[in-house]
Amino acid sequence: MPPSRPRALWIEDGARSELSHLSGPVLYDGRIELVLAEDLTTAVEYILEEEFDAVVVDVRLPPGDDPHWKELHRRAGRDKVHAELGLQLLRWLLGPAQAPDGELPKPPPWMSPSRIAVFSVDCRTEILDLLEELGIEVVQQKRADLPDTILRELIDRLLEQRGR
Amino acid sequence: MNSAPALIVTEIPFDALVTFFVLLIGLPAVVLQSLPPEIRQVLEKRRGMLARDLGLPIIIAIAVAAGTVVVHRYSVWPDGPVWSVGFGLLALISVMTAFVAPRRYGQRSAIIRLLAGESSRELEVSGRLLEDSLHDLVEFGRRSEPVREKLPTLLALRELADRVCEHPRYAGDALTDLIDGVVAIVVEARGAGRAQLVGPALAVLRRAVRAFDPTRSGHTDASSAIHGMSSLGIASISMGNPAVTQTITQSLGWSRGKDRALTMARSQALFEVGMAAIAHNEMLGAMKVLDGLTSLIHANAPAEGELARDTIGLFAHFWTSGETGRQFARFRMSQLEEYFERDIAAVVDATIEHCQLRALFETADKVRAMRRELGQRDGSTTLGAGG
Repeated sequence: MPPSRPRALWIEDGARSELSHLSGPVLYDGRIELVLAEDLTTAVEYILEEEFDAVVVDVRLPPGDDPHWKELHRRAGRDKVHAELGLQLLRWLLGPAQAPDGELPKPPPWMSPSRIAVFSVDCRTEILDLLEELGIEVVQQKRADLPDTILRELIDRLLEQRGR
Repeated sequence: MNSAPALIVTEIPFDALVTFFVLLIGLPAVVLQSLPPEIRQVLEKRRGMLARDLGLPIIIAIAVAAGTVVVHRYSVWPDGPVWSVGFGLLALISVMTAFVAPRRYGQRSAIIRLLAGESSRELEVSGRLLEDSLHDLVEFGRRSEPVREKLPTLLALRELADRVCEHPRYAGDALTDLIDGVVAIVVEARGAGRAQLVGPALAVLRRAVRAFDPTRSGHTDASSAIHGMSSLGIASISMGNPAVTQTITQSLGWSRGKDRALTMARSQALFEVGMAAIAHNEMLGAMKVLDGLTSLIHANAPAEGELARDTIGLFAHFWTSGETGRQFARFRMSQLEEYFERDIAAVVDATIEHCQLRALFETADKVRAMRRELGQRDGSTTLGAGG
């Protein structure tokens, strides 16, 4: 049986619009199955449904339909910049509390810091400290001068980290 | 002795007041006439309910007016309080009718609630929706204008679909009309904001596919939903919104099951969307479609039949789209070669025959052209690592 493709999840609300050019290199070479989630609800749905070899997460994300994420978003003044729901997602996935407020199911057992990269415009020291605390090593700030292949490179780094 | 307000009331001509109250009661009829046609259409089919809700107050008002006159003429009670009570009751009936009826029938949200409630009247018992009411709800959504007015109908249909899928007696064949309706509402919509309708519609279709359980349900709803995704995908290309196309394509490729019938349906749907995307030069969308087919091939390796033929068919569309498309097709075909059950040459021949039989002459010609060029370059229909 031929080998299966590694599967990557990109959680980014601009993945299909202003940042769609970043998915082009991944789609062109076809080595990686790329799944896009544009909000927290969809991302959690995918994570609970399937195992991913790489997960690339933005910090500023919209909540989607799920009441838990919508409530966190509401508490932050309905502002995705302040809500930083991407960090809340990472806390759920990797943090010691595992399931905040008991409203979310347990994260899947395959999830680990080595499968996660953070790709965000917001890389303040507090955020970097939190990511270090969670064990996430692959962090890339979004900047205008990044190459179009940056997403593929991030995924490749995660795959290398895991020896795939 | 009469009090001052009662005196005023007794001095107003009774027939003038009755005319005024009857006019108030008739106000809803005027309001109903001014409603959008889709609301009037729903209400015209429900004349009995309207007659009950609007006729009953008129009958009560007439009874109250007659009663007031009789009591005034024959009772020993003083005039003032009798008129006051009579007018008070008439006023109450008139105002309630004038305000309640338009609220109940004059708002889209109320009509949607009414129709959704009717559709699901027997859901708890039978696990199915009432066809007539569902049809009216879908028609209501189709005729609602502008585009944003269609959204509440779609959300109501989404809720109904959820309830049907969660019913213990759901057997995979209770949502076809609803699915067709949801797709029609989006595909037929014209004007700005159409893309906003795709999300809720896609949620309904994905729900129907997720509800498929080979141990207890048939393919009917899941197949309809996949076919619906194809229609949405093709429509999204004309919306000029590649993001929407990609969302739909991802839903089509998101399949881990090995159900043969559904894999075939997904493969065919992806091919149709991919072909339309290439025709509109939406190459990123088309690449996403190919990625969806690739995922299906990996999940069902070694790929054969419809899945293999659809993939080759899509490669041929890339191939004939220009030099870069040709390089891309060659490169990706070389990656997938080992995942097909038969060698590429055999799959290419089978695809040509298949396209001829399905009257896909354009695709058949493109596959022939691809076969010719592959043969010229390599001496046989084989692939090198291109790209």
